[in-house]
Amino acid sequence: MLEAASGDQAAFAALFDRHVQGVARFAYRFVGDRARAEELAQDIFVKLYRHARSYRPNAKFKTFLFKIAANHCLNEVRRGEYRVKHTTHEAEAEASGGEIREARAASPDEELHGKELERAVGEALGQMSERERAAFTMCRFEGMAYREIALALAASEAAVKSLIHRATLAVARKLSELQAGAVPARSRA
Amino acid sequence: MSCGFEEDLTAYVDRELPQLRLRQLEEHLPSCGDCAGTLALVRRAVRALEAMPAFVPSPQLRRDVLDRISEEVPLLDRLRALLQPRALVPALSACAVLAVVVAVQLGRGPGPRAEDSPLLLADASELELVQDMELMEDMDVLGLESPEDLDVVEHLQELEGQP
Repeated sequence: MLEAASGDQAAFAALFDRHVQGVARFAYRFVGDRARAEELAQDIFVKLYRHARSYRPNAKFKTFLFKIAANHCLNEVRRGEYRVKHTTHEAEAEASGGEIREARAASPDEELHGKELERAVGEALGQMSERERAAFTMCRFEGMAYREIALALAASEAAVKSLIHRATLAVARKLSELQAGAVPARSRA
Repeated sequence: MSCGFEEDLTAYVDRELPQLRLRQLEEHLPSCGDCAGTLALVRRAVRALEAMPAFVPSPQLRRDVLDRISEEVPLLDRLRALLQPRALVPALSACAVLAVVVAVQLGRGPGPRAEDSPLLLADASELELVQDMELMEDMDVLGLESPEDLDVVEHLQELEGQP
């Protein structure tokens, strides 16, 4: 990071390669739309490059990066630049030419479950507050500790604990409905 | 749920509870069906989320970001560019001209204010008119009818001295 901060573009490219997946995934879970997520990820990395000199090595780099990412996503959504979409997995896969890949090889039954899971989680994310969504995404998909999330969101750890609990419970209930077959598959599209 | 532990259940699954609270919750769980049910729900959800499909960004994203970065000029380099002679000389010349203009304006000092000036006149004919008005007023005071009479008044002492 320090090399990237001194304007070393090769060092920045290495940094990009190491963190692009996490940033793009965060943006995707935040807005629910692949193309918009990539636009956001692009802006986040440009901001990172511009603000690289303000990074202090005593802070964890991932926290610094996700502070920029969370601020950018929250600001853009609040400005109305991006409306949270959370499209279905099938629609996303069709739009992207199948670039949203399954994490592992799956049987047809498991794949169906994966698509249903994606849809239910997308719906739950779309119904959360922006801060709940940001905290939940950093915790569940990026594996960040509550303390790091609190730093990234400029919130207390107690607030983050509460945000993550509410968001996890919302997703858990949505998945529970899915497993119980409470919501007909067609109406969930 | 009113047992006061509900908000701790997700943090418990995430191993984010402080030791003391962790012990209290573990003592509480066997006796609270609601907490046990919610805990099972949260655990199932967390396990399911771990199996979510991966999001793979397109290769175009890398190209776009690196293109934009290469167009970005760091702040220090922008300052250095401003200090180059080809940018510095015109800028300093402009500053020098500006400084001279400001110095000249300050050297002149403030001009007379309208209220301080007894009479502001547009041209010489107005001054002549004013002088004539003074003359006419003098003639009125003395009860004279022509400027020649005023001349006589001015030289009255000389005339009186004559035999």
